Amino acid sequence: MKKILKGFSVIVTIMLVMGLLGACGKKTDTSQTSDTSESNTDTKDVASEPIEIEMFTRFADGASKDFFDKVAADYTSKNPNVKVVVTSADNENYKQEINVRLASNDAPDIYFAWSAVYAKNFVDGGRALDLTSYINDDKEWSDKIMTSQFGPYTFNNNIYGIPIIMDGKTFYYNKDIFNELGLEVPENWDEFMTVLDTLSKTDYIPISLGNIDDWATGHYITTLNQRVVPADVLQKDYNLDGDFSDAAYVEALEYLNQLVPYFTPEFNSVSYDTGINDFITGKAAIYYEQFNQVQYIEPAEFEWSWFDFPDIEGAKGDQNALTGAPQGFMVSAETKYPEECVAFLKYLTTPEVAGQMVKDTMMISTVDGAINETTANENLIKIADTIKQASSINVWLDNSTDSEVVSIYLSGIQAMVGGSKTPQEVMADVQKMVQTVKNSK
Amino acid sequence: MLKKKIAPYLYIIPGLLILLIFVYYPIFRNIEYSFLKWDLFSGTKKFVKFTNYLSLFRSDEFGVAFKNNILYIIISFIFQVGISVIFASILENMKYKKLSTLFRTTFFLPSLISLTIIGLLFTFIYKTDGLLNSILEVMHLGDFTKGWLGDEKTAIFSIIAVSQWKSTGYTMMLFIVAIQKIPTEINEAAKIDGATRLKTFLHITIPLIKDMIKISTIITISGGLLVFNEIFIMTNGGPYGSSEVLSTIMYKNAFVHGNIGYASAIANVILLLSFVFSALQFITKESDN
Repeated sequence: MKKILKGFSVIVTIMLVMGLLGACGKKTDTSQTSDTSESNTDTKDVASEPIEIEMFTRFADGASKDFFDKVAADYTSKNPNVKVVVTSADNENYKQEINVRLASNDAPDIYFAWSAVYAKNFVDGGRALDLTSYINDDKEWSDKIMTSQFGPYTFNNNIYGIPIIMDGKTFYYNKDIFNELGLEVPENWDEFMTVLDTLSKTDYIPISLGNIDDWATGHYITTLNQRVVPADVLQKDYNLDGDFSDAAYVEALEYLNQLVPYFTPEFNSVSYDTGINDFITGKAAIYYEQFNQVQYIEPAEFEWSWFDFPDIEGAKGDQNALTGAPQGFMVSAETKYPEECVAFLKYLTTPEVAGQMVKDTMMISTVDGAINETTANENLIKIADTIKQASSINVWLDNSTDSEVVSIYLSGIQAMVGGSKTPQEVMADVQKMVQTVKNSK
Repeated sequence: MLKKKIAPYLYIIPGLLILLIFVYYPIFRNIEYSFLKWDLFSGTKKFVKFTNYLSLFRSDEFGVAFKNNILYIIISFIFQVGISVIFASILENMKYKKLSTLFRTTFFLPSLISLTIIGLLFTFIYKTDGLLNSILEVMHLGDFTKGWLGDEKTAIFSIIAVSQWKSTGYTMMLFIVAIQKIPTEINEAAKIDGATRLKTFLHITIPLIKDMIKISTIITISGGLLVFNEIFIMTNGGPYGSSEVLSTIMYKNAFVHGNIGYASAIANVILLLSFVFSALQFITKESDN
C-alpha cells in the first residue's frame, strides 16, 4: 500500500511538472503563430483597429518624459490608426533593460540608442532596421537633420538610426571669478595651465570634478586622445584593428595628470551632483560638462560662458573636433510596422515638433531651424552654432570601443588620477584587455 | 484511509512545483549556460567547454571580488555572531528592564530600514564634507579625514561597516529570544553554586543557545557571499574595481558587457561556494551529535 501511494505521488508530481512545462512551451508556440498570422493580414490590408507601436526611451522623468508622452498622444490623435505607447527607464537602467528585452525577444518597435559602438552592437546583432532607403526616399525630411550627426549611426555605409539630439563637451566658466582675478579665456594648453595656477592660489576650486563614477575623467581622455593621438591611429584602435600601442596614448594620460592638482579635492569620492553644484554655487571656477546639461547650469546666479578645450600645440591629433556624440532612436529589425515607426520618427523630427522639444526640454535638436529665437535663449542658440562649426564629432570613450576595453580603460584612468597607477600601467592593462577581447572573437 | 495518506503529498505538491520551476530548473539551465559563449546582442550561442571558468579564474577581478567576499564573511561573523551574542547577554542581564527595552529597540531599528535608503544615507555620511569627516574634525582628528568611498583602501571596509550597523541588531534580537527561552532555574542554580556572570555566560548561556548561533552563522555567511545592494548603491564596485564582489562582477558581465555565459560561470562559482559553506555547517552539526 505504501509503495503504491509513493508511486502515485511521484506520478502526480511528474504529470503536473510536465503539464506546466508543456503549457509554457505551448504558449510560446501559439504566440509565434499568431504573430505570423497577424503580420500576414497586415501586409494584405490595412488593419481596421489601431495598431500599437512601442517606443522605449531613456527619458524617465522631468520635462523630457513629459515631452515624449505629449508627442505620442498628439500623434495618436492626429493618426487614429496608430497608437504610440511610450515606455521608459532612467539612464543607467535603460542600458540593462533594453539588453534584457532584446535577449528575451521582446524588442520594442522604436528604441533609444546612444551612437557609435553602442548602436553598432545592435546592428551587429541584427536587431536594428536599416533606415537608409527611408532616408534617401524622403530627402525633404532627412536633409533637415544635420548630416554630420548621421555619422555615428552609419555602419557599412548604411544608416541605422535617426539622431534626435546633439551634444558637445565644453569648459563652462564663471565669468565673475575670471573678471575678479583678471583672467582671460585660455586658447592653448600653456595658457590653460597659467589660468589654473592663478586660480589655485585663491580659495576657489579651479576645476570642479565629481569622479565617483569613472566616466567623468574618461571624458577628459576622450578629448585628450583626439587632440594628441593621430586620427587614423585612433580610429584603427577603437575599431580593435590596432593594439593601443602608440606612445601618444600615454602622452594623453600625462596631460590629464597635469590637471589633477587643480581638480576638486578627493574627486574620486565626489559625486557627479556635487561636481555640478560646486560650480553653480560659485565655489568652483571651471567645470567640464556637456552642452545638453545646460539646463542644470542655468540656475547659476553669476554670469557664465564657455570655452573650447584648449589646443595642444604640436600634438598630432585633430584640434578642432568636438567631443560629443548624438543620441537618437533606432527601429527594431523585428517590428511588424516599420513604415509606421519611421512615420512617427519623421513627425518627431519635423521643425515644429523638434522646436517644441527645444522649448520644453532645452535639449539641442539635430533638426535645422528647431533652435531659434522663439524656442531657445541666447546661450542655447550660441551652443547650437558651436556644434555646427565643429570639424567632426568625437565620440565619448564610453561608446567608442568594446565595452570590456572601455571598462578597464575608464577604471585605469580613475586609478591613475587617484595616484595608484602610472600612465604606462594603464595602457598596458588596456593593451592586455584588447588582446583578450580579440582572442575571444 | 487512502485519502488520509495522499493528502499530505497533495499539500506538498504546489510548493514543490514552485521550487522545481523557479529554483531547480534555472540552476540546471544556468550550468548549461556557463559552458556557452552567449552574446546578448545577437543572441548567438556557441559551446566553448570550460573557457568561461578558465578566464574567470585567471582574471584579476575574480581575485579582488573573492577576497572582498571573504572579508565580508569574516567581519560579519565577528560582529553579527560574536559581538551580538555579548550584546544580547548584557541586555538580558540589565537591572533596569525598561532601559534594556530602549537599547534593544535602538539596535534593532536599522535592520528595518531598506538597504537602498541606508546606502544613500551612508554615501552622505562618508562624503568628503560629510558627517563622519565633520565629526573627526570636531574631535581634532582632522588627519584621518578622507573620501571614504573613493579611496581604494577604505571603500570596501566602509561598506562592510554599514552592513554591521544594519544587521548586528537583527541577530542580537534572535539571541535575545533564545536567551529568554533558557529556564530561569538553571541560572538560579548556577548563582547559588557561586558562578560568576562570565562563567554563567560561557557555560550556561552559550551552550544553550548553540542552535541559534548556528542559524545566525548560516545567515551571516550566506549574506556575505550574496552581498550586492550595498555595494551597487554606494560604490558600484569602485574606485577602480577595489570594492567589487562576486555578485557585482556577475551583474556587470551579464547586463553591461552582455557576456551571459561568463556571468553564468560566476553564478555557479557562488553556488558552489554556498554549497561548501553549508556542507561545513552540516559536518560540524554531525560531529556534535
